Amino acid sequence: MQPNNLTALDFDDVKSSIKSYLRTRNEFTDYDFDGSSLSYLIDLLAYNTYYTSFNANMALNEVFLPSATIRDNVVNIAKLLNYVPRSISASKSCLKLNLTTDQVNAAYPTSITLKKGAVAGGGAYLWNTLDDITVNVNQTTGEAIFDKVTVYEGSLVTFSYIVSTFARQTYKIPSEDADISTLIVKVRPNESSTQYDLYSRAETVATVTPTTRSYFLSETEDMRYEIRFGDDSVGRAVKDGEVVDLEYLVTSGPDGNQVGTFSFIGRIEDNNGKVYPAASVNIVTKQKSQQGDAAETVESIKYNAPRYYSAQYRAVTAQDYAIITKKIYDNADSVVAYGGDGLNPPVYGKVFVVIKTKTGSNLNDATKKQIAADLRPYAMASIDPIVTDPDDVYINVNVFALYDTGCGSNASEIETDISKAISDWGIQTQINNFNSTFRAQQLEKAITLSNKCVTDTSLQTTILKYIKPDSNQTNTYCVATGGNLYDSAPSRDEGDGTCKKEPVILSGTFRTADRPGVDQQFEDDGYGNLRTFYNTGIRKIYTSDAAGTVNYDTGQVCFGPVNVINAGSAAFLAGAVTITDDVTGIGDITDSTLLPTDLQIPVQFIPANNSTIPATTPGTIINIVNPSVTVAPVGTVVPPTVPLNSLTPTDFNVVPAILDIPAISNPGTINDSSCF
Amino acid sequence: MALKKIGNTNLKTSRSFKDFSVNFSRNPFTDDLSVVHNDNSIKQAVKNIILTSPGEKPFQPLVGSSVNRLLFEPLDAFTADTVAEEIRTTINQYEPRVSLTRVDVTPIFEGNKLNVSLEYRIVGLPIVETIEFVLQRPE
Repeated sequence: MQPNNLTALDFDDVKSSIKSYLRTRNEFTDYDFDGSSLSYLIDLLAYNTYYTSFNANMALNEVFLPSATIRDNVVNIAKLLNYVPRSISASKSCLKLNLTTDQVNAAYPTSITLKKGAVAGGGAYLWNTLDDITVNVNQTTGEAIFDKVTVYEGSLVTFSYIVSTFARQTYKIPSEDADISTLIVKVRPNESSTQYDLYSRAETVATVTPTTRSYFLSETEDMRYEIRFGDDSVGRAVKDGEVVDLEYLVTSGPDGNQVGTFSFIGRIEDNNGKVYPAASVNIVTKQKSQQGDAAETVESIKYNAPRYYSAQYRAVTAQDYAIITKKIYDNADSVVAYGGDGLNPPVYGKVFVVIKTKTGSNLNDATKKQIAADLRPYAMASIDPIVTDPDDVYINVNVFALYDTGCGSNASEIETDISKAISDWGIQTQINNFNSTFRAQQLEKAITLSNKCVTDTSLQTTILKYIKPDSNQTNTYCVATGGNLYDSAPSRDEGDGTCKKEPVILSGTFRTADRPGVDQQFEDDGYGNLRTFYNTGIRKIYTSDAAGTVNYDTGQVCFGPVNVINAGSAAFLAGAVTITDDVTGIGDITDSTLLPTDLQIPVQFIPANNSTIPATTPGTIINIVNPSVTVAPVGTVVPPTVPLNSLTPTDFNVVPAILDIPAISNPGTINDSSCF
Repeated sequence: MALKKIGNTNLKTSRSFKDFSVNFSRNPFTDDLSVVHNDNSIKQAVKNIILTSPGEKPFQPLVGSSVNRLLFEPLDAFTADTVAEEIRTTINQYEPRVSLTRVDVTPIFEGNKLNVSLEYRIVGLPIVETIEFVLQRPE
């Protein structure tokens, strides 16, 4: 008889297959008894077969990208798609250094240079500049300022190879913690030479000629990167005796993030050759360290490699832009791109790339231009990539949960469980991202299931948007929620112009140029107009009945024309404004240079539908504000789901903390510690 | 019993137990692997199962008896009793062909050994067998 089950992968299946074979023979009969010698022999055979089939299965799995688990294999398959996984990246920080130079022959030096290498110590790490930085010295005061110096965490390493073509030589970066974005490859004609050629990284052969000084980079075993030079046909080949210098930063990656205190340890030298002591340098942190990241995970390589390949180094579809942007800008957490033709009104010839950063902050104009310029070589002629910020919609949820007091959990335990359930819900729905939809029912279900004692769950949902006014400029600012707003009293609208509706929009406080003395707010009148008012403490005094417009169908609010000079609770600097009437707040601007900048006014909306709030444009990100959770015994009356007259926009003068959703990462290793 | 179909023609074979000898020796007459039959095959299986430690058989972590481990316990009447109990449990659980009638475990203090004597009846056959062997720690 033939063995009947050749597909068995399980030990027990293999064993029963052998037994069923023996059943057809009459040599031995004792295979069913655990103590028999035959049973031991069967175990051995089954184990051997099991081992072989496991190996075959495993080996075959490792051949294909979707099923491979071992990093080296995944990387090798990705290599066929010309995909180079992202290396570990160094945390970077922005510093300002200043010092007063010394006079020589009654004259200050003309320029001063900060040497490349370790510049500062901070948080038990070393921080480096990757190039010399030279600035001019102020000839009156002798002061030299190095502003916006970007320092990178790690240590600068130089590693050299002497080229020998007699053997097959590989040029590997001998560290798995090398940040390859800092890699500089130089080739010297011989060991004693100080002159070098700088080689640049080539990604495709399209632009590489036989004399191009370029190298190809790929990841090899154990997360080490390898450099390959050309062959005098595609790129210049390195010749015998030449010296290859690899210069790169070995870094600790994300461990170096969030360092804010630095001490100077670098070397500063003026054009007279004088070296200044570290103590004479004053160091100011302009931005805490950030953007340090671990090497690309196996899951991420598996996701990105085929997609990057499908874009074929050129951006044609909107999706291509998104994929390439992620590749050229490491700090991009997620990217969405869409053609301007889909907008209303359409903008032809442009592709809008919306980037959500890992740090959560918006990009500055210089970075946006840089990314757009980096995208340009991939884009089709006549199509302009435009990098924009995401349209952040904040959803503020107040959770009220009722619980059964006799069930065995107290309020604080339930609150902890609910918080955990909300966090899990966020992870599962990946809510704080593009193309997501807030579904109240899912959240309610998650909360109800968080603890067996929770009997009822009620949510109070409002939408929060920010107006970002330009200080001391008269403008109209429009923001939109993208959905209908709540109609507070449709049947009581008698059309006689008297207000019988409750406002469904309320802004945070701000100050205008004509009334710098009082905090004003705006609300809607229920008929499509915005009204500004201030509060005397006992009375609400309207200052304008036509401060802007509201479209209840699209949720768009246009505030203005208005000249906003302050927002939130911050006070003016002394001498910025003069207030002539303390009660009405009327006054003037005295010194416009002292007015605060970077203003933002929170605006809180009550949506018509509070159970499903979708992202209405491709560039919209739904952000869930950390919900406030109230737990009460069953029987307590829960507040209304529509919070009329209880909007609290002033709580959000500062952008609120949103639900923390950790990245899904899977190290992709197999557990081989104690299998057998 | 062996999981064989019992029919008219092979009634006799279905009653027999056949296993190869654990010492893997050659039968001088047939030049084949030597075979043990019926009561001898059962005797061999009983000894095998007692001397197998749990975890020794792949993917069957419960099969076997822990007498090997017990040999490292102090040599006294309690240990001897535990060993006897362990043998009884193991045989009852993993060797359905026999029914134990007696288990004697006697400590031999010179040489730290245990003398084991088993008496069992083969189920379905009017045969009473006795096995005696010595349990000793590996040197």
